Amino acid sequence: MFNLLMKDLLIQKKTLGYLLFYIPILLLVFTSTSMEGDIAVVLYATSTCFIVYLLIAGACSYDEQNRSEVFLNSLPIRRKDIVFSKYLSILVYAVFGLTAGILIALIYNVLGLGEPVRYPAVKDLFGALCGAIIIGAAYYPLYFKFGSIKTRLLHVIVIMAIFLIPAGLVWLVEKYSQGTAVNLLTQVLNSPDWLWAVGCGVVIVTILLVSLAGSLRIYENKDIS
Amino acid sequence: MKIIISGASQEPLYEQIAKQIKNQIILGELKPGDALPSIRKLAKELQISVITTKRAYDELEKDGFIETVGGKGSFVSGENKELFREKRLRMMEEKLCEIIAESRYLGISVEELKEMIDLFYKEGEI
Amino acid sequence: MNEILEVRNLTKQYPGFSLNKISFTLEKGYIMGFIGPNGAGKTTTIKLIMNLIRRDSGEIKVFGLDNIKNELEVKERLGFVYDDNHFYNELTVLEMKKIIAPFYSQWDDGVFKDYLERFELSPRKKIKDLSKGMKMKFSLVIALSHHAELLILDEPTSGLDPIFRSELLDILVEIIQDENKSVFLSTHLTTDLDKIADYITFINQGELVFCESKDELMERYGLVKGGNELLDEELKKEFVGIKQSSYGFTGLTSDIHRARQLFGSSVLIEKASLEDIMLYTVRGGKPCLTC
Repeated sequence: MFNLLMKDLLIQKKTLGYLLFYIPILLLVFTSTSMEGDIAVVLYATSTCFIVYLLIAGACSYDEQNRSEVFLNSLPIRRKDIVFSKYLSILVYAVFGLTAGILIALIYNVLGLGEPVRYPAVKDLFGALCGAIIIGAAYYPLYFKFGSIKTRLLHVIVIMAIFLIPAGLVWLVEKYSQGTAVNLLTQVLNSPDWLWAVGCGVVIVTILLVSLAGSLRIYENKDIS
Repeated sequence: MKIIISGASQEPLYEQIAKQIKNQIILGELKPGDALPSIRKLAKELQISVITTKRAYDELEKDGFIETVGGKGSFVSGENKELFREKRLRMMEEKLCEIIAESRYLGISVEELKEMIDLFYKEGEI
Repeated sequence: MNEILEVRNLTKQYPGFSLNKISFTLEKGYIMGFIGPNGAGKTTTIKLIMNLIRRDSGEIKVFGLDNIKNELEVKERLGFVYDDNHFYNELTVLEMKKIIAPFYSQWDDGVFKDYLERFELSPRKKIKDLSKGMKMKFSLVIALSHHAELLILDEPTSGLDPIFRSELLDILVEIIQDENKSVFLSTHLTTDLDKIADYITFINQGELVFCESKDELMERYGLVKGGNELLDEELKKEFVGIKQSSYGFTGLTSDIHRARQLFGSSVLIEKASLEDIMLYTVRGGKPCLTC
């Protein structure tokens, strides 16, 4: 399984190189936005999500370009392991993403481009990880079912759905039960941080597990041509 | 050991091989106890199927010309002088018939033929 | 247990095509040629053996093991070569090996290096810089470097020159010098098999035509050539396939003895090559296009 991870990284050697160029660009974007509030969280979440998406889509499209699925599945490898290694890679890519974020913060601070940005705290790591997992969880089932080309189109829709559906539900509830929803929401929003974290954690883990189960099911039964 | 096979001939390959090995054994070119190449090696060298060489060897074994020892390979059968002598005699008879037919065609009488035989026999002794 | 590959009643349905109850067996120590025209189902069969696609029904046993239940063990002992290059173009030969080798518990680096040298493959060369022949050679090296007992090749020689094809066949014959190993070679270039194959399995339009030893086939099948006046509707049915011209006919018979009985000395009977057998069987009794 770790060999597969290595494989995904090895074949993207070039991409990893290009990432070094992305960092200055991200830096530029970062400096040009003058945002209120906690910039750090945004920085680390964005850099992580961006790079995670790049590397996931990169590895998958390489696999597809080279039609290596046929080859890989002819080796003594379980399909399960192929799926697991892809999900594991989310973590690895997240680390890359965070590192990029830290580098940007470093450069920003050293060059004194503005108010000093803090280095990652626990909540930044948490946010970055959640973002990475959502991106991966949305991508892989689609990829295993439809291939990387269609996935690129559908992926955006799924991500939006993940955010819009809860918002939509809240709006619906709001419409039909005046008051109670607002009260509930206010309560939720005022609950302590740790409760938030746990709640988010549960949701994210659920999404991950559902996605993993789905991918396994799809891939185990897929005909590879 | 020399084996030359023809894909174009009507005779099956395994028969061609068996015949040639048989002849070499009869003529003494292959001696009792000589090891024959394994069926796979022979098949590889002749660029044919191993089933063919196996069949040839099976034929030879059936006719008593070779023996196969499990794990070691195939060897030319032990002394079988009577059998070989008989076969060689028969081959000689066939050649005699050819000579006689040729003599008749050229108009050579039996006596002239016998003289020729005497001559060549004596030459051979020297 | 002598069977290294057993396929029984293998069936797979697709919208426009189906593989219908294919059965054949390959024993240890032999080379089996898997022939058929394009689209006959050869690649489908191989993909079913490799469990790349799921079978609808039937049984596939490799080394006596079910190819799905014991998928990993089967693939460990199996080497494969496909006609399409499925390697990562950006990687080098060595990097590709570093990815593949850990999956095989029996990987032998010494053997790998020997073959690289023998085939003159440079380990630092990028896959995309290899010629088609070199890519094939590399596939073969990988397949041979983990002590595989069964080698499965799917159209490995299409697009390669005769010199290289001959080299490949030599290598295959060398492999079965070890009588515990076997080779399963799918190809539509039957001239390669005329010499070295021990058994031939022929499929056409998803159906099995025959699975026999090549020697038996060569003894059984023949090309009958004679004048058109010798044929009538009844006699035409005796043939697997017939080609007629204004000068005479050539028919493929699957029973030379019977043909001799029927026609006697009024016809010429020749050996049929595998290509003849495939051609006439596929064309069948179709009406001649040019007469």
